[in-house]
Amino acid sequence: MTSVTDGELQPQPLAAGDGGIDAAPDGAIRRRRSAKLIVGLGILCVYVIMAVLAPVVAPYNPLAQQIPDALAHPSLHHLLGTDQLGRDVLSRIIYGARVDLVAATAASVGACMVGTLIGLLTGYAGGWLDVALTRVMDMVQTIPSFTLLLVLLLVLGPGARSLVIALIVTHWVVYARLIRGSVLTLRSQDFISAAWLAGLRVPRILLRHLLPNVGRQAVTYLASDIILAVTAIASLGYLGIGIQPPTAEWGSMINDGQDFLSSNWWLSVAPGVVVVLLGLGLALVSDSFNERKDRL
Amino acid sequence: MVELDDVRVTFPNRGGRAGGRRNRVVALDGVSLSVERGECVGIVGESGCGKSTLVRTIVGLQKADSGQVKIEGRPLDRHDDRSRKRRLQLVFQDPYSALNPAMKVGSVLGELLVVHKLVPRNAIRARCCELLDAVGLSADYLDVYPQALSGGQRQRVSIARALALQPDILLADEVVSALDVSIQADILNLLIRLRRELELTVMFISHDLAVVRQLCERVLVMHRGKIVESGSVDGVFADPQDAYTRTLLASIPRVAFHAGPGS
Amino acid sequence: MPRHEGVRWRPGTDSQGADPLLRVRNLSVTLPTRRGDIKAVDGVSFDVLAGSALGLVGESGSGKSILLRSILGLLPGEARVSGEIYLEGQELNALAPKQRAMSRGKAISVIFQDPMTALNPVRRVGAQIAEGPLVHYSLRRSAARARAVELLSEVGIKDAAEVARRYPHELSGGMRQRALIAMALACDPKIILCDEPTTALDVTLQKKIIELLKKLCLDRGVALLFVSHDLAVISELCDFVNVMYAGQFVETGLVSQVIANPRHMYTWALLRSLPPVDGPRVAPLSIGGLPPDRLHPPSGCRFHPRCPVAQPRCTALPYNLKDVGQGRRSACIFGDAALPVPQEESGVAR
Repeated sequence: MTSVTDGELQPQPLAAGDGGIDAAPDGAIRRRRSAKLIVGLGILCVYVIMAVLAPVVAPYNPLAQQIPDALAHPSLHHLLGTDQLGRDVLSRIIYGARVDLVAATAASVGACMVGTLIGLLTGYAGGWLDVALTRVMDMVQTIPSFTLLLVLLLVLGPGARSLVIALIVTHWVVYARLIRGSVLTLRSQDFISAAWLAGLRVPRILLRHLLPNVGRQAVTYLASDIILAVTAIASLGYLGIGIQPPTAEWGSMINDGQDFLSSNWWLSVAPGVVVVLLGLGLALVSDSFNERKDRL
Repeated sequence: MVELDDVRVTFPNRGGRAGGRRNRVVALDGVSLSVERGECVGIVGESGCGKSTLVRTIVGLQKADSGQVKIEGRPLDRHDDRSRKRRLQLVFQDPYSALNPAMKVGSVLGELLVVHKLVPRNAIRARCCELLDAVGLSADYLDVYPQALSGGQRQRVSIARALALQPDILLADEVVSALDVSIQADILNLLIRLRRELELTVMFISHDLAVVRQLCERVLVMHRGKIVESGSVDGVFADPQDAYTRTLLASIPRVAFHAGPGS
Repeated sequence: MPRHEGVRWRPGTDSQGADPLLRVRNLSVTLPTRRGDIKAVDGVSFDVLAGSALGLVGESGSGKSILLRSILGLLPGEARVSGEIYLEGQELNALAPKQRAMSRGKAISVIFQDPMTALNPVRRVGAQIAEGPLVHYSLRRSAARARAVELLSEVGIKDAAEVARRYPHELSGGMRQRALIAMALACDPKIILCDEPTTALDVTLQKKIIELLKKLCLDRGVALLFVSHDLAVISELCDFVNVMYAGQFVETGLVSQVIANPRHMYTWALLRSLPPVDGPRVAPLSIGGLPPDRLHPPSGCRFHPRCPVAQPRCTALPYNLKDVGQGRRSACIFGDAALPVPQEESGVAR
């Protein structure tokens, strides 16, 4: 009986040539992973809806002041009460998503892209380029980030756009180092040499061969970075720099609510909880994303 | 086709025991060789003899300190354009790092065809199937990731990748060393067949003299960065001149009786 | 057929009466994986006689390393083991983990494949070798150290005292492997299990290590259980060989006999796939087909899809490792006599 040649792909769950047998995650673990992903995505969806559909979802105009109704307790009219200028807290939180979420995401994604690009270049190129850029990274990281932020905002002026730029400038280094480290490890792998030998040019090697293999780490970090960015924006708002009043922004809301902690504590706590929940959602998604990729 | 003229490559000495005398390690110590068109030459030596450095120097991944490397008469230039790079292709030793884990087999092959504009776009998939067929894999393999493949299958894909550019010269760097003995036989037979069909010039690097004996006509024995013996395979096996070669030959584990037909 | 001078056992000699040092009966190891359970080792039984060397040959995935580790008790937690392992009459699986650990290193020791990773990089070599006697024999530190130096010179290291004070990264690959062997000998084991110890080595070094193991086996009377995928190495070192395929033994017997006259088609195919060193340059035979699917192995003889002379009944007959005379066993239907091997296609394939 002639044998089947090696050429025909048989359904082979295990290539015996590897001898690689991995322990099975049982059904319970897999369900837990999906649960994480679903909950995380669910939370994020809520935020995205808040941001996108704010005019539809929010019951009131966030800027509309109703001084007679100031500092109202939560009721059917105002589910989270009103602040000291009579503005509906719930609506301000919903509209706040537009500001915080968008600015934080823009800043983090921007930092990710800039950092990843620089990390790829410097890791692959080596030599003087690597040395020079690493020194730059060291310099940026030596300066306390908050100080740097403040200085940049001073120079760029207040407003959302300057905020995003300033955040990108302070945050890109982490990504660059992450990616650079991974690239240094991967650079010695044969398939990179093979790509070079086959005449592929550097941009293609960086983007098509290196990036898919190292990019996962950057994306994982991105999730936590968004929260860091939200915190930064909120802190700046708290300090009165950054997003200017009367724009609804979670950080400045926390700040404003400080004066009323004993009587209307939800003015500060509600936006705080919102920030925390966003962090939770991002963490869940990035965790489950990480785990699923690990299985490959 | 391939000529090396007194090539010397050294590396800075890293680590090792305190009191190391030299601060540079000599990997290639004045190596000269030449390979004619259509020949199959084996390069044999143990770890540390410099054969990996030799391979890397020939393909341009390593710069020689002195001496010259000529491919088809022209000196090697690391900044050669694509068409020059195509002439010489290399198949790597480790099947597990030779393929990009993020790319399917079809993409690996297709990318090369696209970048070098070797076939019109609509013929790419067909050509990829042809390449896989040449190495004994069915078209089903186009859509799998390397993780699903065994060592032998990965080496076949590596060979297909090398052949995609239709090189004249193929360097095989210990391509069977990481494989089981019977899979080695598969790959070896594949190389024998491909060499015949495509009229390739082959340089086969290995630490295993028995394997080299199957495939090559001529063999070069390397030891400590130098070529200590060179000659026809039969000649070197029958009458080794150099002491190291004799040691190498004597060390090969021999089966007491080679099974033939019948009892 | 002339064999190496190490062979001490011949069929019908004093081996008959002696109790085997290691007896394995019906050992099965099941590993759960994502896609189902795999029987990595499927009901194997064998004996190792004191002072002899038994080779286990098979390809990656045949289960030979798992078999070795199950004797040592070094399997991953989710593995399920059934069957009995008797060392000097004592059943190992019945022992409490602590007692099992005591037998490891004392009566049984092991040499792993990669000398780079088998030694602790932050401890001196001498100290690592001395650890065994220190623990198992409660020797004083100085006595244990002296013993380590003795062992290092026994395995052929010159300046043993000096080498004992070095760290692993300061030794060459060959010296590291010798140090590993010294470590394995430290507590005077009765049997040393070797998991492909020469696979990662250069061929000249491999020869030296094989010679060393042969000498130690003869001088000290220690038994060897040598796992390898390289039949040539086994033929140089071992007295007996068990050929393993897809978790089962397909042929067993004296090395000289099995190689000169294989009684299972897989053994024949293995031999035929080795590139010959002497004689005509025949192209090695590819064993066609794919390695067996371990989740759902082929019915009947597991080798039948790849066997050049498979018969229809090979798909149905149950596994039966039967005696075929001269102390040999084979699971092949043709095992009783010479194999009906196919005609060679060509003499010199060129």
